[in-house]
Amino acid sequence: MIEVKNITKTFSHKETEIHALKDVSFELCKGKSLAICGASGAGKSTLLNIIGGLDRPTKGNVLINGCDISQMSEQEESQFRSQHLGFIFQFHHLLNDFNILENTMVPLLIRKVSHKQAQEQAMTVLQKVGLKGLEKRFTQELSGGEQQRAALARAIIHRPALLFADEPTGNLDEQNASKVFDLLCNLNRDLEATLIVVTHSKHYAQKLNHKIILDSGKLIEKT
Amino acid sequence: MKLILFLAKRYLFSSPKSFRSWMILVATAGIFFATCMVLVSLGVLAGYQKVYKEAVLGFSTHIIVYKEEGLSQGDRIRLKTFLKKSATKNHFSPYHFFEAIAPGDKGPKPIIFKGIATRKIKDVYNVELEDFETIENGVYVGVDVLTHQRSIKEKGLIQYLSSGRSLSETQAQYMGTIPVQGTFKSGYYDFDSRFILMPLTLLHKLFLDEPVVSGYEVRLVDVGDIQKLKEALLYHFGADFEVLTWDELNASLLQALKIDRTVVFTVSFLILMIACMNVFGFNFLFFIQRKREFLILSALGLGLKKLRRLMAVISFALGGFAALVGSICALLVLSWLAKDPGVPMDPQVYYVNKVPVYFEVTWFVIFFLATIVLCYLTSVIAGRVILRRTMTANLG
Repeated sequence: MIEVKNITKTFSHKETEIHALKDVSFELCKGKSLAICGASGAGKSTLLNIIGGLDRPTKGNVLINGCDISQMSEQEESQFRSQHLGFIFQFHHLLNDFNILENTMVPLLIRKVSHKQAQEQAMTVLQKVGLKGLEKRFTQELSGGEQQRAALARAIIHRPALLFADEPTGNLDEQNASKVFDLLCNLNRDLEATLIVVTHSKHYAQKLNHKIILDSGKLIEKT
Repeated sequence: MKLILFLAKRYLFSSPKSFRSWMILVATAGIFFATCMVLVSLGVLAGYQKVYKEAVLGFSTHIIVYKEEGLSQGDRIRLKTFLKKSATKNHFSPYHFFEAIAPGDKGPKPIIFKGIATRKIKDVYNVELEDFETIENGVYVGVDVLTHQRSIKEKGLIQYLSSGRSLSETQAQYMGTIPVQGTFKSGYYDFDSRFILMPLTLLHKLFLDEPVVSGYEVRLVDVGDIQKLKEALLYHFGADFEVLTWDELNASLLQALKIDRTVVFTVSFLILMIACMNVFGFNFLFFIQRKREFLILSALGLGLKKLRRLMAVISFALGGFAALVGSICALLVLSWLAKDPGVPMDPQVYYVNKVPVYFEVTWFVIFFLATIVLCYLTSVIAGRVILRRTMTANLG
């Protein structure tokens, strides 16, 4: 269960204050999916980053299964991220010096899973996202769609309770975008992971259980 | 730690392709050169210090007891008796100087005949002797006097030009020769090119009307007893004699060495600062280049503490490697310089024949450890500056 309570985020630049989010509140039940929509600059990514603990709100709280992540220390937050959260960004953000198998293994290695066990699990997940046979390749040797699927594999390998995706299809062609989004929905269903996706696409937003629309940092619609 | 080492290994062995990677390579090379340069400079400067100190202070005796007007026979007996009975173990020799001129291939050159008790030469003076042949009443010429008067070795004689035998006579020039028994080497050009050590009796016979002795030179078995003996001499003889210790006698030289040492440390410190800045610059470049990846790892749950540890490991590895290679290179350069012929120098200008070198292995260890500590400190600072909460700005 995610509870977002009166989140406000203000960025200060010189003497000007920019209100990226204004008093945003909503709830999302475990295992459900949510699309965050809105025009560019509406505050979608900022909201996602705050819920995912990558950024801190100026005001308000985020409770995940009753834990207030905005009050956690840096160490607690890192531990929480490594155990419960998975991220997919618009740009894959894979590690260039590591092959796809190693990239996928990293979250498990952070959780101190043995190298061998991590390798086995990574192979299983890579097979699930359709990258079997490409595991020894490096990021630069993969297409955009394959890179995003590898990022997806890395995000779900530790079976996170919450999966965050920031415009995961924004950088892909129609065919690859569809593949990646379907994969996300399947994982949400199979893993019973709560899924929050930031997207511009009404088409993909409709595939998810809930949708919120932001406009200039304000939540204007909740379905 | 396993994960940190796994990540560090990958970062360290990734191929350098970008411009920034080249910059890091240049910064690493900077640490290497700075390390090498500091150690070689220190080695050479310490070499100079050691040569001067050893040669000058070695040739000089520990204590000189003298009178301006020279010692009387009674003074000599009193002093000899005292020194023989002294609780501080010592060797001593009477001395007297006589200045002359040695004609040579490149013109005349001033020389100094020093009359001493030659049978005590090895005990009292810290010089290396090389005998041509065993002769009675022969003299030892400084090894560099040979280059001035080449005929010494062939004929076994040194030619000299002195004023008249007695100052009361007319100042007619007097040319003479003395049989040479061998050479001595103190290692200090100023001594080795001007001094001729000879039996005091011969000096008296050749140049003086009376058996004048300026004073006594004393070398102690334990150098730590200098002050003790000086005080004993002053207590026993009061103001009868002048007593000078070797540091008083060489005060200007010791002062020069002190200034030299200050300069050496200042220069070394400045070079070290440059090396520090290189380590610092290298850390920043490396971490700025990898910032995005470190932040990805942070987003995946790797805590800032572990990321800083990763930075420290990478920093240790690269800085340590550069410092290690720099130290090894410096060691090789210094070893080469220490061997003969080394890098020759003009002794008339520098007082030494080749670039002098002195080094201790502990320097290398200290310098290497200092670099490692610097690497750690700079990685901590760089980590604090770079790994602030800027994830969203970089990953968004």
